[in-house]
Amino acid sequence: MKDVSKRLAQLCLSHSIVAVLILLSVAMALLSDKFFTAANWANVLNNLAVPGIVALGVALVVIAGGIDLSFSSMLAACAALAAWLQPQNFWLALIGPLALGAALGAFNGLLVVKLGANPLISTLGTQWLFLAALFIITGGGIVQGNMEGPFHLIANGRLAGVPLPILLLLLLAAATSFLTTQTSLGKYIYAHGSNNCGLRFAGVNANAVYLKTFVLMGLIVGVAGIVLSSRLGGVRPTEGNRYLIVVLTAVLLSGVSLNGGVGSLFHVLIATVVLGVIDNGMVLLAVEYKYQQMIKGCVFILAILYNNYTTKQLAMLRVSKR
Amino acid sequence: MTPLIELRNIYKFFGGLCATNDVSLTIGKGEVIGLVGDNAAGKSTLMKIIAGVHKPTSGEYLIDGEKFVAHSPRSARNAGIEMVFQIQDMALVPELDVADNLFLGKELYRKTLGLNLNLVLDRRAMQERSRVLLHELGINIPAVTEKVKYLSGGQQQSVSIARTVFFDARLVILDEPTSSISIKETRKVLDLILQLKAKGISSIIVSHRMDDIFTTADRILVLRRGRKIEDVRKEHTSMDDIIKKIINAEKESMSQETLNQPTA
Ligand SMILES: Nc1ncnc2c1ncn2[C@@H]1O[C@H](COP(=O)(O)OP(=O)(O)O)[C@@H](O)[C@H]1O
Ligand SMILES: [Mg+2]
Repeated sequence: MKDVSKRLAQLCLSHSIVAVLILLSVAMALLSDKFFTAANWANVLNNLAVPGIVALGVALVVIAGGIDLSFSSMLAACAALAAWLQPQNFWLALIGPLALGAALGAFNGLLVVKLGANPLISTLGTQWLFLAALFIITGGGIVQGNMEGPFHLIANGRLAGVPLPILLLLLLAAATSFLTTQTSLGKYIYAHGSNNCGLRFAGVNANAVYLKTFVLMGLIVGVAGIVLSSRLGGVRPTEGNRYLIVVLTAVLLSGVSLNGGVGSLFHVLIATVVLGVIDNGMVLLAVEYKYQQMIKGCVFILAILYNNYTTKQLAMLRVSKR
Repeated sequence: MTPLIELRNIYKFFGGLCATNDVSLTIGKGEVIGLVGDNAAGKSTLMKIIAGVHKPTSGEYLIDGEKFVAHSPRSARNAGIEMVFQIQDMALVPELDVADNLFLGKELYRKTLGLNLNLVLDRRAMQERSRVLLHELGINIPAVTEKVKYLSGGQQQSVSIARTVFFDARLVILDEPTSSISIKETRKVLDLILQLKAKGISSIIVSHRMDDIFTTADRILVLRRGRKIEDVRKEHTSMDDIIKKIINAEKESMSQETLNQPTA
């Protein structure tokens, strides 16, 4: 009996973000009759396509036991490259940002895996490095692409009535969920975050797994860069900075453990939607911009505390069960 | 019959410290060796040499009568030598479940579109085979889908040992496998070692507990300051004898030390 209740507590704790989304949505529906309309939801989801996609990538690295804070600059760099390539060739504007994302991810990965750098500090460094390089290359101005053609459709087109960015977000969430739950690489990513010695001991090349995770994240950020570029048309070097907090909040809120080895990509998606609903709610309720920023900061802090709390509670369940 | 493992005049120096001093030994197929000795006698060092973790400074190491030259844990494992660590520096992955741990690095895959792409894990098959193996070895675990971190120390140790069977081990090295688990669980781990023996798998067990040694071992080796001072079949000795060997040896080494100091 005790076991069952413990299992239940474990289940509730690990899926609590889903309950948060439901409660929040009900509250919003009561506060504003505009909330539960298809147009509003399309708007909510459309706005979170870019941070949602990036959060999936960052979550992978955190599950593997690391972190990558350079995603804001990577995102801007990939978007700027897309904007620059897009008037020249549509396909190049797709391949280029993906390759750049993978290369920057590999750079971060090599720093951490080969040189043993602390991922938190070294990717904070590369965040500055990539941004500075982008300023130098672009001269600090806007990289302007065309506002029409097939590339423009990526962020603005629809398929069966659904905006393409939403489809892309769902597609990537499904793909990363598949990767983490159904493939050996996914299993190794969790194993690396949980106990990389154990992974090594089993004869798996743990360093290669870790490196691949960083590259994978770069690729995913590359996709987000393409969407961002298509939406904006023109890209400034600082374009990625405003996603810094929202992406980290989503990852923390999803229950991905900063200790590594724990987390669900599906929950990352749900956590992003929660943040989207909060954002949308503040707009619908006409909250002033300065207060919106404050609320976002508070949600970030709450996310850290919440992450701490669930991690601890889950760990306690484990101790008492012994 | 050629022994599974043969060490000839093995030395291992750590700087000026001689951790393994002219040790020769054999391990037969299906034989269980109990290795005892005081702290810092060099037991772990000897185990690590056999497991390929340490390269001996000099001496010969033969597996199946052939020289083992490529000293690495991986090549030792390829030769069928597996080391089970203590749970505190354990080789399992706590956040993965039992089946995922047993098959870590040797996953089974489902066919994708009728092809062997090794893409999609076949969790059901791995869980089924884990269940069979654990049952065969008499290991009692709530479910193979339980995360390893929720298992008791003894259960974790049992899973570690079961894994060596999956790796087709011929020699299992257990360095103090019972040092941090309950008495009841200790019994189970010892049973497991006897199960391995019944399967023809050799093992070496290091333990401070004479009970562990005398329930499992066919032959008992005593180490003292890196030297092998006893190598005897279990039926030709007794617990008292062995304890005396360890203690006397200790007295002897103390008096030697006091003798050595003035000259040093
Ligand atoms: N990696 C190492 N580097 C230096 N000295 C070591 C190392 N490993 C063991 N030793 C030394 O070798 C001696 C034997 O150690 P060990 O084999 O761990 O003994 P036991 O397992 O019997 O307690 C000890 O004096 C220990 O300090
Ligand atoms: Mg030892």
